[in-house]
Amino acid sequence: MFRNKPNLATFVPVSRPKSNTYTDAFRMTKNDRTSSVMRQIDENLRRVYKDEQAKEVPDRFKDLLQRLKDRDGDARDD
Amino acid sequence: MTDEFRDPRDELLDHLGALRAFAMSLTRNSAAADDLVQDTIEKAWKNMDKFQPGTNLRAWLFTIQRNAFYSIRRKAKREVADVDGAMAASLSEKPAHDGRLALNDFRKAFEQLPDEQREALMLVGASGFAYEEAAEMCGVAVGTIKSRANRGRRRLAELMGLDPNEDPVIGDTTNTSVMTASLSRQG
Repeated sequence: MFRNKPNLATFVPVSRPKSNTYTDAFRMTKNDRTSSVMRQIDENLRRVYKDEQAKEVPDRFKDLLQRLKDRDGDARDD
Repeated sequence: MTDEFRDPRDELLDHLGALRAFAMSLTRNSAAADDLVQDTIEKAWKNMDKFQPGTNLRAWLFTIQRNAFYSIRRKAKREVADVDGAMAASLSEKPAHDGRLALNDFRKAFEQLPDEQREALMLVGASGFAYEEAAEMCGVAVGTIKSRANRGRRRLAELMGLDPNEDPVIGDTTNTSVMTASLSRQG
């Protein structure tokens, strides 16, 4: 029974054989899991950004734009 | 104006929300963020003749903003990002529901990332710029932006306890022992 006991080192090869259904199955699961996590991360990023972006713009910025516009207007009048 | 395009000055208002969001992610402090946005608008206004009508105004504004941010950062010579202040602000927000609570954790995790990773993720992950656009805005190679964004994503996953490499069921150890068992049976 132990005659064919595999050497563990041979089962974490750098490139796994394509025909190995076990490793292929696990690798896919792991990749799927990784991309699902990354999708969640990006989804959260978009939500945080959207929330932040949707905040009301304080008057100081509208005032600033108006001031800049008025200044340009004055410059042209000169 | 010869008016296929609106005067970009009239469009600035439409980009203020995005500029504030990007500034917040860079500075992590709302007072500093608004100062940065003001600086950005003034610079953009002064240099409006350099903007090419028909190109992406938001990308142009973001570029000005990040350059302003790093130039202030260099002048200050000290990195004292008010992480505590930003955290306190997000904690004091009344949580609307569980989703919001999780989102606050996410914000806190995001604030811990290095500048360049936050920036890359803000540009490509959140704002939806292409890697190529983000690379141009940051003045680095496309591969650099990709690697910054991916490192940021991985770090966020870790901080949120979502690390795909730490799954107890699908880890390599289990993987190996399953194979060992099946092969032993054959033997």
